[in-house]
Amino acid sequence: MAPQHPTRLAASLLFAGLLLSRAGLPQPVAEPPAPTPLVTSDVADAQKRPRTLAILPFKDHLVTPSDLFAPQGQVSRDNYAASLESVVLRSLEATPYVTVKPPARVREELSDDSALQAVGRAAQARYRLGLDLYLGMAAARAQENLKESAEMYRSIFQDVSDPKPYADAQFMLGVSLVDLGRVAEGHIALKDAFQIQADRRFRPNFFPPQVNTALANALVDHLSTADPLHPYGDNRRMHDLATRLGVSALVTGTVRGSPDGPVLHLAIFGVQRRIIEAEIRVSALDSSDRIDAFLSRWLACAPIGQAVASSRSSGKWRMDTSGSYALYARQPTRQDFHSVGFAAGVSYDLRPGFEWFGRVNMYTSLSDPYRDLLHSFNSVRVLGGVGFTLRRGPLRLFVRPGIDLHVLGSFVASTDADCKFLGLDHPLCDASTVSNLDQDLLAGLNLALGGQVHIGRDFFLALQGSASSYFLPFSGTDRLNYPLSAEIGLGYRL
Amino acid sequence: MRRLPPHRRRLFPVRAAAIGLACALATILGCSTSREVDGLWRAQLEPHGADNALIFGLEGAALGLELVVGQYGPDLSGLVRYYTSPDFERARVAEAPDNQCECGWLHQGRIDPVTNKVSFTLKSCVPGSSPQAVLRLRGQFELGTDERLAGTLRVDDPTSPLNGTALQVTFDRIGAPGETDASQLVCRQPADAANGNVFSGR
Repeated sequence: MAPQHPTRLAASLLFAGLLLSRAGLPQPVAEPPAPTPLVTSDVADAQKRPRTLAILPFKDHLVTPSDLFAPQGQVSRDNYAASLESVVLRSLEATPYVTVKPPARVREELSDDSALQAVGRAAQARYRLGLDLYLGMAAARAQENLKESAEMYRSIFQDVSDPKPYADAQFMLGVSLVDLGRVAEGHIALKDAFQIQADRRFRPNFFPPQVNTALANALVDHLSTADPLHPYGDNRRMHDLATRLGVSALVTGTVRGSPDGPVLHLAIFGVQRRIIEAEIRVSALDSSDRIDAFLSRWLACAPIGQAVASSRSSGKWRMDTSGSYALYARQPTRQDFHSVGFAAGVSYDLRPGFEWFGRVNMYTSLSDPYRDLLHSFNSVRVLGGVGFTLRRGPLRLFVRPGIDLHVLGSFVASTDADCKFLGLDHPLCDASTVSNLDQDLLAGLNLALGGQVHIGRDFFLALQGSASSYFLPFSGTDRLNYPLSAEIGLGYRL
Repeated sequence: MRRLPPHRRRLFPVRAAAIGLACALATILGCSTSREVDGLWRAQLEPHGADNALIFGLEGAALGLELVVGQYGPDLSGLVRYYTSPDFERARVAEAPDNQCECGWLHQGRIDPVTNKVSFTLKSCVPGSSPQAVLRLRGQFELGTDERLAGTLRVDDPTSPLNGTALQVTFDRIGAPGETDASQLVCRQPADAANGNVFSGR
């Protein structure tokens, strides 16, 4: 056998080794994977929070004035609103880092809120009273009750949870106004009623002819001028609704007619910026791809990790600082002495209409007219308790029962002029006239009444008056007791 | 009746409220007639004679009288100090201190805030007529608008032969209210000052 060349031998060994290694290991993929675009949801981020959205029930404005007095069964219509709601819901549910509240859940949350239920019952009672008055030919008093009923329904977002009772009140308000001859106001009320429930039908001969005319005119006006991007009111109301639902965005939809067929006006209201952040007008027929693309575009542009508006944390904390004044209904001096100072407080809404609070007051006394108080009296009060609140527009009223702990500084008083002029140790000073409050702490109950007026976005002017009654220590409250105080200051809602 | 123009009619409630507030403040602050007697007052007494048989110095010499008053509402406290000379330099002479009455405390001092009449009882020795024994005198004065305190000191002590003896005194204000210091509130009776302590009025 002829000897092999060393180079050829080495090449043969390397080739044999490569064959062996390929036989024992998995084969590499022949074709590299197709490149896919990197999206935000692919980035692992423990800090990233899901965006919470609520889809409000879509509005259906596919009505015509000619259908207004037609029997319900005679008008056949496709339910575009429900099918388009499903399209939007499916698209959003398929998106990562998005939590969606479907319309059914939105209705359920609003309907199950006990605070809203109480207002709803009151609104229903007002409506019934208004209706009875209208049927009893007392249209003026009827419209007052119906207006109040409609305002209550509006405050609890009844048009979102179940629009019919709200629409009933609003329609009857418009009808009673027309009956009273206040045609312009009646027209506006009826137009607002169609905004709540556009597909309402009426029996042709139930109302007088002038009311039927007003209803038809209002529907025409509504269909031609209503803003399809705000089916549930202005941005402020949308923000309030989103805050109550604890979501960062609201999705609204309105289906309207057009020469080219029904169209969907889809809008997304952002809580953080308090505006309509995105909107689109698409055909209501087979536009799921365009709706998907629209929602994807908005989600891609909307900042991830933005603060989720939570109904548990927004606007719950309130802090204020105030100037404070106090006097005592029981004191050892012959004339009132006045105290002035500084107060700071904090409160937290445990639930609507109910809060807890804490306050600290620091006082220093001014001289009484007879100068019975021998030197300035300094003290610190710490108060805490619960509060019951009532909100009406920018005004928030509260009643706060609580506990009052009063840490006293040195307090020496006398009614003897010799003690004041010559000193407490002077032989002419009658010691029996000297009051020296030796207890360091008084404890009792406090009741405060007050209000906060919102003067800016989160700033408020705070006013408060309070009274306390001390009962501890049992033998130490007979000389100084029953402080009455007044406070005025500025606060901030966190 | 002439009608006001609309812009003036609109301002009428505001003006009425402002005038009402000003009247209320004037009533509270400006119409009060009460004045303060608090402070230091001095009077020069005549030598012993027809006009002064009550308070006089050694050998009938003229005296200086000082009133130190603290006022607390309607209540008064204080003392009267006697000086051996009208120039208010010495309350006693060092050579014979036990023969000299230096001062006495006021009791039951009151001022009527409406009439500005001041009254007090003085229980003390009295230079001249009673330098060693305590005599009770009643002081009744009126505080005038000219910052003078004029009135009488009258012996109100039925056990004393001087009972009813009176002296007309007019004090002039020397110290403003609130300017009294602790050194002016020292009052030693003759028994306490037997070793020649003197009080300098300077």
